[in-house]
Amino acid sequence: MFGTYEKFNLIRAAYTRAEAVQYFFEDYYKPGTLRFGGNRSGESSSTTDFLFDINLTKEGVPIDYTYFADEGSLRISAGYADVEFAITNRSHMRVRGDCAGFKLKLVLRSAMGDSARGCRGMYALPDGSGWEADFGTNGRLQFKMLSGSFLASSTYDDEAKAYSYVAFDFLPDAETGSFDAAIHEYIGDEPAPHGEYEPFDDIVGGNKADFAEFSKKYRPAAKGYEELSEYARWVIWSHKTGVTEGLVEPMILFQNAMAVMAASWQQSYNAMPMLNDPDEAWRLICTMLNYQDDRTGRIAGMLTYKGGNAGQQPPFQGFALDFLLRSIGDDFLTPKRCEEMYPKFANWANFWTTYRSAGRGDDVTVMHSPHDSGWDDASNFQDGFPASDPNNMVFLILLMESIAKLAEGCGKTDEAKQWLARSEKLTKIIIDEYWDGEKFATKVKGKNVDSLSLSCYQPIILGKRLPQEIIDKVTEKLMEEGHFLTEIGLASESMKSKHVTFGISFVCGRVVGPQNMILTVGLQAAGKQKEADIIARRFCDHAKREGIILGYAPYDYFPLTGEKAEDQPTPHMTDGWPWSSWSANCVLTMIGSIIGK
Amino acid sequence: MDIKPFMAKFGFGHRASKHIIVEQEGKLWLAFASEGAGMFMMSTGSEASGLLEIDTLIDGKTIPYTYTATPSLVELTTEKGKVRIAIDAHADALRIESDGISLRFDSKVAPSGVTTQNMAKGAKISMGGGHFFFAARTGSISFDDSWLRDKFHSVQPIVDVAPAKGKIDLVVYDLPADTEPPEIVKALDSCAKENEEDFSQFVGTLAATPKKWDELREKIAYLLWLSHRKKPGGAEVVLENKLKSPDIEPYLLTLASMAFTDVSKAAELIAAYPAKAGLPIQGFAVLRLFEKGMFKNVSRSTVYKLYDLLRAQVAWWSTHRRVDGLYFYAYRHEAQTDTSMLFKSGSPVASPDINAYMAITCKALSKLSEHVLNRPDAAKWNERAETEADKFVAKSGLLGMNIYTYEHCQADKLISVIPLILGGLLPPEISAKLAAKVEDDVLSDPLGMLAVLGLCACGHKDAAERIVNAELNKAQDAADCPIDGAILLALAHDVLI
Repeated sequence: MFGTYEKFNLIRAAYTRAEAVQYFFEDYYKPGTLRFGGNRSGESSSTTDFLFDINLTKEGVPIDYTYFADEGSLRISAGYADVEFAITNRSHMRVRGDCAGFKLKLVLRSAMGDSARGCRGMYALPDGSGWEADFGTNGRLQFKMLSGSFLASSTYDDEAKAYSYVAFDFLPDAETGSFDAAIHEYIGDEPAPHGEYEPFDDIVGGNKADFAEFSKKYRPAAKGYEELSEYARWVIWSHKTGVTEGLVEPMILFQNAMAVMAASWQQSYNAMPMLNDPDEAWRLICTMLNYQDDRTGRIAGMLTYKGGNAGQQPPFQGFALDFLLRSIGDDFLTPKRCEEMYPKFANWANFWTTYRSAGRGDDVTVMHSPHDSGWDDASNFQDGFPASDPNNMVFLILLMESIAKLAEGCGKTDEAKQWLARSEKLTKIIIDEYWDGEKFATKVKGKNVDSLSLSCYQPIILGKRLPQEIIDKVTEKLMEEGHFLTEIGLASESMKSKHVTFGISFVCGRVVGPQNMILTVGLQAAGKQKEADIIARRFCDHAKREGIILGYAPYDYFPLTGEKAEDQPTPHMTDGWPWSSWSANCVLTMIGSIIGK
Repeated sequence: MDIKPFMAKFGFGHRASKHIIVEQEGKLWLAFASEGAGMFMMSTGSEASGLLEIDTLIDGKTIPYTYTATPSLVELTTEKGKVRIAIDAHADALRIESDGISLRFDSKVAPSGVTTQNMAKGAKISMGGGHFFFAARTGSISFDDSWLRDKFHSVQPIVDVAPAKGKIDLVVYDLPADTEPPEIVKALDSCAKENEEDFSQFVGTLAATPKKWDELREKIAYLLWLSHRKKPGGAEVVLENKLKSPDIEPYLLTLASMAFTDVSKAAELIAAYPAKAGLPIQGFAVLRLFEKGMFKNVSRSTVYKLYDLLRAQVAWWSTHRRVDGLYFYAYRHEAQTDTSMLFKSGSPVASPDINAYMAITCKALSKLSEHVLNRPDAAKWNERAETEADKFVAKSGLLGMNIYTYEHCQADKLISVIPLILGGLLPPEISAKLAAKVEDDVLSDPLGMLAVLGLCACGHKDAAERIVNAELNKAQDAADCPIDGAILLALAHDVLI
């Protein structure tokens, strides 16, 4: 799957498994060296103190190695020398080696030189079972040898009051030439009990079985995209958290090693391709309502292991649910589920119409910041705030329809009618007031914002609720080569716009998975399957080549001016660098439900 | 009371408010109590402790000001008039009045993550984890809330307030997101008066000290009063510096608790953080309340909180940090003090202080069981306290010791004298040796407080008095932080009165 000689390596993808906090990746600055860390603290791998170099050792001396990883385990090798890592979902990892040992060396690489300051101490456990080391907010590691031997080495700098060197050597048994070890991690006062250690191969088999079981949630991929599907499923599976610290249910993290957070609307994105498991899809759509503000109805925008934040993200749940209902019907919406979620969804919709009201006496809303819309640097916000954004309102329309469905499902017929009426009224307003003949325009102080953002066409997600002439015009604009359509999918800002940028940015030029998914689902819903297919293929074909990155630069120059574009980012949590679950779920929706349909 | 000496480091504020006025290089700034590390894309982008510089203007030109500050009022004086600032605790707002002077609040930088909005009712600024909402009851606000699309933040926030009919009456609210500003019902002068009274009452809850230290006591009281914060969940704690961090180490809070004569307040501070693995000095603080006859009329729920905390501490340290009857530190930071001598023999280290703390914790559990909870385990806890004290004196000789190699570490300044807190549980010849080792600067570490109280417990009050008096003389103008100040007040009370 990933490896030195595989199609993709671990320079941009972080390797781990579901419900684990440890991860591995290959060092961009020192190719051929794998690094090991953990995401408990929420720190990015580009700034954390908690990162180890992994050395493969022969008689204690580091040697060069290659590596291979699949869902079962990660293996580093050099000739006969072999060390294999199998991460579990029970707070520990097993490591075994043959004709080799390995060393974990704590290294903070910075302009000020190498340091091991991330370590706050280590000691041999009194029961003789192993060693423990403390890493502050990153928790503690316990090292236990099932066979072979262990050596902890450190140098403490009394002046700096920090460690300058920390390393842990796992050494093979002199007779057998092999070793078997466990590395436990924990946060808080004591480690979780782990019981008996099972055979190593059982863990590898268990990981594969767990991934296989997880994969059943998804529809088969369109022909030619089977391998991409496997990668995308693996990304989402490996980004799934356990129930730990501030997380009351498993969530899907955005990135494992950089932006370590569970974004609110991304949980609904993750639900969309899980068409073979409507129960899990429904759970993901609803999960953020565990973090709803009782007073306002607001849902937290992001969660980390430590808790939620004060912002919010768009009301995406309706769009996701609408897609599910169109794809698989409504059998999963039991009266009990409807009864439980109806008031919560209603409060969420009323948050927008109350606290983001445009003050017109109807359901028209305004954004106070672009983060409310999810499109942080979109050009339709260039005239400032408050901005009345049709994109947010179309999500609200679909949410209102969903609420009507839930109301109906629990016998609240009158309320269902009211919600449906609200959604229809808002739809009419979007069409009458926000469509300017060419695009849907954001308004600031009643004036249309002059923007060439792709988000101006996002209301296509209303599908056949829109008049045919609008559907046709939107389709025409999206399919115009050199406008939004590039060889690798739809660019987030028209290539004719002066605002286009491919540097450290989000949706002002890059070709990003979420917008391509949203628009192809919208086009499909509007009856434009052929066009949806073309766009989806372009994006997914590029993902097949380049990996499951969130946003790609379509060119290395700006088509409008011919000037050279910015250099692409090196390791950074921006959209253009790491593999992310957000791109993976968009890919899976496109290859499972758009391409070839 | 003049609080100008505190304005640079701690500022002007209120125990219940997050608003703080702080001085930087002669100018006043509007600041906000720290909310901890920012989330995605939120930081001030500035090293300044303040967020918005306060300027006074006439006809669009800035004019200089001087200022005075008391616990309840800040007054700016210019050649053209005055500006007065007070906290309105009812509305959770800053109240600012000016007679003819225009005001400007300028962030001086365009911080990343800042979002601003001109609203019908005023100007909203979200920056550095805090939210300011400026509403002019009298006067007019000009504010540019333009958005820098490719920078992901608004332009540099500058709020200009001009008088109307020669007056400004400005309210700066601290509001959660999506909250209507509450009604203003009190005049600024009333707010200032109430705050003065609240502060006076607060001073009365602190331990009495010899009269000659009244002025110092009042200054320390201000820092303590200012530095209160309500934790999520409701418990009120005292911080080292409200501007810098919303958290405090539990052991520091326990030390500070000893400055309060209100036993419920003291108990609340001791039990504020249920950290079983932290430095276990809560038992000492609880035992002290019993020994001073103060443990009365404490609510049952607080008593159970204390009992459960102490019991959990004994359980954790016994399970995870105990070998052959000796408690040890696995990590340097666990001792919360200088361990450079202690860990010379390598880790883990059986240390005199942790063993003393655990014996005292058992003693405190015995008291709680016997005198408050009527539990049958009082005798068991008492016996354990005595046994453990004997054991560690015998095994370690009161020096640190590697629990695997039995190598002793060298004597250090503080850790080896902490066992003085055992008082009568220590043989007199041993306590005499320890007392002789207590250095005059022992209070340079907050935990030195325990060594000084230990001197008293072992009958060496003269030495304790000498140390406390010297420290009080050094702190004539003010303590360096509220916790140090609380420690000084507690010692002045326990040792000198």
